[in-house]
Amino acid sequence: MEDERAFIAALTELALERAAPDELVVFEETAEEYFADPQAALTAANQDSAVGFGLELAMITPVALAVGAAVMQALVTALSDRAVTGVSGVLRRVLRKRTPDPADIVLSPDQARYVRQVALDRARSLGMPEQQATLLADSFVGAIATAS
Amino acid sequence: MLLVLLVIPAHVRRRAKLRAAGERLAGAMQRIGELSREAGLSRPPRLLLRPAGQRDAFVFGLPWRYYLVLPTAMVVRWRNRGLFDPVVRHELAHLRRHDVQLATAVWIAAVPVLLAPIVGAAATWDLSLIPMYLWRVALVMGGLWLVRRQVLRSREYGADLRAARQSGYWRPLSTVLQHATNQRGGRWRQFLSHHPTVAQRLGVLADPGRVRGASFADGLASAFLAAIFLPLLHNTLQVLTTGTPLFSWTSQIAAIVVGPFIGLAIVLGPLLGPLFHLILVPLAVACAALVWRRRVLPVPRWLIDDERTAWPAAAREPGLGFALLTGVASGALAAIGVTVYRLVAGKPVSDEDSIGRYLLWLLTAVAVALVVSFVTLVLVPRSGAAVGLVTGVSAAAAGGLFINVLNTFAFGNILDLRFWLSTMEAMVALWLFGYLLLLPLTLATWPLPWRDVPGRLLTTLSVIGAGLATLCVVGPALTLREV
Repeated sequence: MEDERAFIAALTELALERAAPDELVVFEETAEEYFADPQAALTAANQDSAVGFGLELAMITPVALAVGAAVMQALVTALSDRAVTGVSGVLRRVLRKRTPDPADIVLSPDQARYVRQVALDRARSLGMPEQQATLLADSFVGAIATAS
Repeated sequence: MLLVLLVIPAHVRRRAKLRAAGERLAGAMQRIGELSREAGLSRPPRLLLRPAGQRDAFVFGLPWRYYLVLPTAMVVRWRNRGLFDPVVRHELAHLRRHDVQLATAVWIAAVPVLLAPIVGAAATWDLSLIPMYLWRVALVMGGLWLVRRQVLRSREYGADLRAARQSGYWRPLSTVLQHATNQRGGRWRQFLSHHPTVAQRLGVLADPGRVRGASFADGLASAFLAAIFLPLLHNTLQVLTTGTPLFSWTSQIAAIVVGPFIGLAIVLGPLLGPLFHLILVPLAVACAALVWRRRVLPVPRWLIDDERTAWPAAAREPGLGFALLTGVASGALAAIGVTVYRLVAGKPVSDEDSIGRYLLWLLTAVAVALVVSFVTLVLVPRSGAAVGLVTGVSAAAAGGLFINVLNTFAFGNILDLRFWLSTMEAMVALWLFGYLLLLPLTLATWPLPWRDVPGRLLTTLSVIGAGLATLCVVGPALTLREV
């Protein structure tokens, strides 16, 4: 479980470097909050506070982490000859650029398209605007490609 | 009670899951410090972040330590001044206006007072009156709750206007508000909410005169509380003044204490609009009636010691019809002048341009109305002041109406009847100010005898004067624009 979370966090952080670099300064806290209660982190509250100011402005990070989880599952499916832990371990090592082994994680064009589509569908299902969803899906695929 | 107050900030932090902003957000905190100094705060509030999914901003705390809570999504985008600064300025304005204390002061004042009889009864073990007392307390608390919410709603407008004034322009805050979450739930939710709707706030930002001091709910709650307070005060005064000459005046003393509260609540808010209508409209109607019905009444012979038996007849011309026609025709000319400017200059290209156009509207209509009043004063001896008021007010009002009609239906601007009314009011009020300066002229024609002035002559000369006034305003405006 910890490995999976670490992998999702590392992959998402890389994707956010393109999709929402501003949010990286609070990434650790946001990721911690997300993994503690994913649903609460994804649900925007609409409460009327004592002296408040409601803004139609959302963090991308929680959605990106949810997409990251879907992307990890997609990678497991795409590289179905490996166990989940193995995939996570390899990819995490690659993402950290310690012992890269491109042969293990390089995706074929079909696999990349599949991963992108999964990311895009998940982002859309979470209510992300189309333009942002596309950017995020591309960022995930780009992060994997760049890391490899 | 004090202990509860001290504990509240910690409770808010825990309940809302707030966390302190880390060192990596030092830039945002530095900007908040700069904006705090601009807002006149001796020290900036401490920045706290809400959980990622939350989108609300607010302030809370105690006078020696305030907290500013911002959505994380906004804090990480602190370099976006167009988004960050207006929101922070708005929240700092709440602190500067002491809204945080106000939000809690109602309960600080009310709860101990309402609890005291219960504590007293408990101390003497006489609880027989407690049930009857409790439902009354519940009613009073309900009234206080409504008043408090209304006060907080009205403070939102004040914070918006202060924030807009500090940034030098209302547009940045307006842009942010347009992206704010809109309230849902209809009128009942609005009635209970701490906040006005986004549409209401945008309306006040664009036209601060729309701020209303007292709504129906304000009046209802204030009157209810005052009505409850009156017999209590009366009874207390009776006890205190028994055996003194003041005993028979206790009703009046109670009314003197309670009355101003109701009066201030009702009068102080929407002061200018009603005053305008209370003074100007009856004045115009009275003068119109005078112009219509003017005549010399027979003076009873017993009233004066004079040999004269015949009195000169009053002038009857120009009548009310021509006076109104003069004003309306002149107002139409002002509208035509403004329309010509619009056709030549095209659409406004910026906010400054729009404001300039609006000032041109005012200037043209007021100049035309003053010229018409001036012509009337000079042309019509003795009753010129009354006739001039009718021609002037009708010129200013008609000018405002026609300009708005043309602007809306010929050029496709938004149909906003409130804007129409406020524009016409502004024109008439400005004209009235100028007319007060012109009025002494009537003394110059006072020695002249009553004389009928043909209505056609008044209309013709006034329209010529109005045309020249329009040219004198619109012509230079067009020339300056081309330069």
